[in-house]
Amino acid sequence: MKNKSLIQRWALLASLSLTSVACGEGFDPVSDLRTLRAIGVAKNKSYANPGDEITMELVWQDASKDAPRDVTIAWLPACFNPPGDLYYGCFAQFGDLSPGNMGSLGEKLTFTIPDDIVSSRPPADPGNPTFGIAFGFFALCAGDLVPLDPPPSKNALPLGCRDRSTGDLLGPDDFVAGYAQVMVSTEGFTNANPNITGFTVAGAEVEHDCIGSECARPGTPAEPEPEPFDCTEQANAARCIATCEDDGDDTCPDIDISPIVSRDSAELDEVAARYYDRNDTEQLWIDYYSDRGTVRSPARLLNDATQGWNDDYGVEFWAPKEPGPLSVWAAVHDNRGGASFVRVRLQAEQR
Amino acid sequence: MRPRKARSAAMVLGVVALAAPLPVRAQAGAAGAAPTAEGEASAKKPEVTPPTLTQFENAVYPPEAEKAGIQGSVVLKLMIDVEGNVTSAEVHEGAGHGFDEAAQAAALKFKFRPALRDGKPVAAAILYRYSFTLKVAPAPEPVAAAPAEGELHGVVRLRGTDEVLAGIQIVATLSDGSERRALTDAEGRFQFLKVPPGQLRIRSVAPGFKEFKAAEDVAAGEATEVVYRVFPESTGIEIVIEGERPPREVTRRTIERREVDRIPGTSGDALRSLESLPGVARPPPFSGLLIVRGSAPEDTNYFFDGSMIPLAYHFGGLTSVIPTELLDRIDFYPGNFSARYGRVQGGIVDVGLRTPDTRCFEDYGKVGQKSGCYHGLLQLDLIDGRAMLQGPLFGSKDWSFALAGRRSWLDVWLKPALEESGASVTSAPVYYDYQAIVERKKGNSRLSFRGYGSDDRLEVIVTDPAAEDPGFGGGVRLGISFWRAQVQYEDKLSPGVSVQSMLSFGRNQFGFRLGTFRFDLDVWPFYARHEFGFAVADGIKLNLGLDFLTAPFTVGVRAPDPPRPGEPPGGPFITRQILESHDEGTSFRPGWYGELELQPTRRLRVIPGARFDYARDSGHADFSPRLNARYDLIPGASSEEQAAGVDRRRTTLKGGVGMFHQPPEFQETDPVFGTPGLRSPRAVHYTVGVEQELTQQVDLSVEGYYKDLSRQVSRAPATSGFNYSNDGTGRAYGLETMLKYKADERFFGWLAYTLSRSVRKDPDRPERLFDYDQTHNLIVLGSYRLGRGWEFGGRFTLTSGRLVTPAVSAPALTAQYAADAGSYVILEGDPASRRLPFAHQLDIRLDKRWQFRTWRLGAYLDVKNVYNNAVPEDLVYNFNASDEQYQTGVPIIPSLGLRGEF
Repeated sequence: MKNKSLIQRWALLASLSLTSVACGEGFDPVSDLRTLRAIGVAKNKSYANPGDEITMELVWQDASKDAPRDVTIAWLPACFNPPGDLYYGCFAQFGDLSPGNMGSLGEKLTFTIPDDIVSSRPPADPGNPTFGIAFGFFALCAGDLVPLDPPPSKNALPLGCRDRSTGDLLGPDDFVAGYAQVMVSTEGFTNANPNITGFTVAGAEVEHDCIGSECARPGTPAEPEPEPFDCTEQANAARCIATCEDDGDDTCPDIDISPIVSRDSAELDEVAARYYDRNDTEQLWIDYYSDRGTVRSPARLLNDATQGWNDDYGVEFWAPKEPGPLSVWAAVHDNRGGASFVRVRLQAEQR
Repeated sequence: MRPRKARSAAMVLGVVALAAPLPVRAQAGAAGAAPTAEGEASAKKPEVTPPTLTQFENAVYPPEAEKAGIQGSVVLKLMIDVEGNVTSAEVHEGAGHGFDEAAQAAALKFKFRPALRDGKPVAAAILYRYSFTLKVAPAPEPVAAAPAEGELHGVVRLRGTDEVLAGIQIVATLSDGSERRALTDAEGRFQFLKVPPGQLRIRSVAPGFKEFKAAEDVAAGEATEVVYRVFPESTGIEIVIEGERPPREVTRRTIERREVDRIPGTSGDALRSLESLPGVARPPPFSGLLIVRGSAPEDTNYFFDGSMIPLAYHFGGLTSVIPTELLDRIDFYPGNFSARYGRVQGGIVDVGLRTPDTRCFEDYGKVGQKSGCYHGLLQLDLIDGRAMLQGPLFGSKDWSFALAGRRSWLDVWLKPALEESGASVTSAPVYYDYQAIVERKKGNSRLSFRGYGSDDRLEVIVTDPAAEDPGFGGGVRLGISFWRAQVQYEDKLSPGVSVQSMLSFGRNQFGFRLGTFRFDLDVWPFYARHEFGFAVADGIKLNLGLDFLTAPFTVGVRAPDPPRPGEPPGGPFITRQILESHDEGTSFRPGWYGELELQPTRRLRVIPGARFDYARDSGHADFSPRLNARYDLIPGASSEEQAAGVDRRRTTLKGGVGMFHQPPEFQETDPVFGTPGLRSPRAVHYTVGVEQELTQQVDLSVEGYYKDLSRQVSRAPATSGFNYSNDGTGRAYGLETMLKYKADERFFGWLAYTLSRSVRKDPDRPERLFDYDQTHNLIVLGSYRLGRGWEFGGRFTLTSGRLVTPAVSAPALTAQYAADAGSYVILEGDPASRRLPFAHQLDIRLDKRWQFRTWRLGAYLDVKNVYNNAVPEDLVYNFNASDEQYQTGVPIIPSLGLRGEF
């Protein structure tokens, strides 16, 4: 896989040139967890009915070199039907976001969908169902949250994160703000989160560290560093990998990793079926992350809406140079807001 | 008198109307007026220089005539092409006794300096007298006699150009009243020997030239040297360039055939050459976008012989869908275009397909005098291969045909490359196009049947979706195709009435799938264009036209609301609410126009016009008045004046003002995605400029333009979705300069510089620079024929960097996490507020042609970005926008091609 021939590389370069993909030096991949990062939001429902109670929890990891450290998590009050259904249309609804008005500080946002969230909207566009929309906003801050007025951008959450010692505003490596949404209808549409049942390393199923909403956690107390485990024990053998001198480079040996995802995760797209008599399914993909070592591709297709299931949804992992424990994540998403998570602890050892 | 084989003499009699279709620039706008004698007569007369003989060929004196002591004079009608070759020699006035055949055989070997019209080489027909005379045997030299006589030696030249003239008869009247005659030879020389001292009265006798008179004193024992310059006759002698007509627009930029496939950096692709003209911004690489005078790319349309086509390039920007070999001309109107064009508020590109070539070639590529021959072409390069066959249809003199086709072989090497990059390729990218022309041309009428089409296909499964928006992954299927069946008819119904008609029927299909998103469009457009031209009076011509479009369509879309320029993104596509729309119907857009071509004086030309358009889909009608004018502040020297040595260069002032409407885009009036009932966005174009002829070969043009944009479509978030309105406004203004060396036998080239600014204003936001604004754009290019079949050219471009919308500055938060997509949304600063560094690039091209007896082989090497400059094309960020870098454009790209022709 990594031994691409020179001809193939040139062919790829030429094809990229011809298809207007221009050249850049490249960045560290998004799958490399090296800072404070959100992995996703675990929701009890991504499609809901008016009156339903919704819970959102943050899945995250502080992979910065300063970790472990106390992290502030804030959830702002839920927002419903902003203008244009644009998430940044909610910001005008928040008003004062000074400390004390920031909403629920903690790992969860729980709210009830208003009964009129659908009925208060104008009639739907012809041939489309009427949806209401609810947004939940969070902030993950390795310091103290402060309101920002004005915000740095029209579509920016009006919050900042100040370093506790210097008072400086922290950047995106130490402060993550974001949102998740829930679609609401009165037609009974549902969407289950993808169903992850396990994780394999080099073809062998291994013990996972967390799965589903278990992976969500509060900001404080700081998560302790993982303890090394004994690779000589038979139960741990599949989770032990050899270090690689090239430190996660594509010249390292491939180690196939993959969550085990049930095929029933690819649900029928009910809107397409009901309104257009089309048997499209959801689009599913998997985001991979690791806090040491590198995965070959940060995202892999799991199911295409028309082409169907992709059996080859795993990815190759290239081990780090230094021995020790490491975390690998897989976040399985569908295109209707559903998501599920799994984390596995591996250990690199010199062989 | 002893008969001797005479040195034959020749005489240019005059230049007459061109009769044959020759590959000179032909302007016949899509629905534009056909050039007519009346129309031309009412227009400004072209400035012409007749062809000049540069290589004379002695005819063989017919032996029997020589023996019988018979002399003769044959008048031939010579057809001379743009390269100065004699393509036919018909006997206009015969002399019998074998003189006709001998003169024809010799004349076909003549070489001329081609006729010039406004400094450009053009084809021409001339009458040429070939005289056969028997030389008088010299009298015995007087022995040791004191010189009691003199001599007169002279050269005859054409006034103005100083070309030597062969075949001019010089009559000398001696002091005793007797006459002697002499004919100038190929070098224009004549002489009178043994002339008694005294005054000689000299006159020239040569049809086609004004009589020249002089008096010369000849002294005993002396030789007098003289140089005479004669004027060409003007009465009844005129070059008419087929299809050439004065423009109805303020600015029409035409790319000549000589230039079209030789511009470096274009790989010989004719449409790409448009990017080298002033007023055209440098587009993103391989995008195929044409950005004209600060307008959006979708505001400029391509017409192929009057029929609008859905795409000009394969795969958006790879290579144009009509091969260069089939193009006759490309006319580009950056603004203030004629009322015959409508439904466009930016610019117009009108491309004409050529008349099939039926000329016959003699050995080694020399154009013969016959027609009715077939020609073929085969061209191969790294991207595609193409073939073409053309010639007379079933041997007919009037009917001709051309067939051409092209197929890419990208699939051969791109499929493995895509697979290696992680895609599962179901159908590798492939395109093909085809063209067929059957044409009848007789007299003033032309009837042409044309069929052409194009098809692009690609189907892959992207198993590594884009991390920044995983919606861009999964099954990707693209299919774009169109075809047209088209009939064109041009004729002169009476001396004062001409007609041009075009009917076109076809199909456009566009299918795009990307994961859960899709867009399917199926349109059956029917176009009808008719224009009648009436020569109302001397200097007044009226053009009335109908421009009719109706198109049954079905459309299906499943996508989120697309973002609009200047609007913060609403998050990754995959998280946006998906809307679906299916519709079918028939769009109906009739248009009528009228235009007057007024030429009250030879210097002034005024074109008032108006257009009325209706769009049933929007339910609105638009009235678009327009006015263009040109005034020769200093008229160029006429041919007579040139011949008289007057060296006056033309200075033309020009200007125009006009209103232009363009119906809103489909999605903007769609009930699901847009707001029905929107009106057509409007632009008012103002242009003023000057054209200055600097030398016979060099022109300078400077134009300033201003576009006032109103009723532009904008949108604002509503309670549900968005509300579209006509509340957007904008302005674009600039200065265009072009210094052009017009193509001659060796060289062509130009320097083009554009200074421009384009802004837009949405009702809820402050005015901002338009995304495609480009302040400076400098292009210098040239191509030189080195000889022996070699040609070398280069193009250098220096342009302002692109405008990009940057992320907000660190240390504040620069991106937000869209949890449902698992990716970040970059927090954008002010739209189009950061300009990338200047872009500069050098392209070169080397051509070599080998001429064999019956065919020729050509090869080219076109190298883009020779010094491999990393041109910043965009600003890209890492996943959370904490780091940025330039995305650079294409590196050095060589392109190699081979072409065989017969």
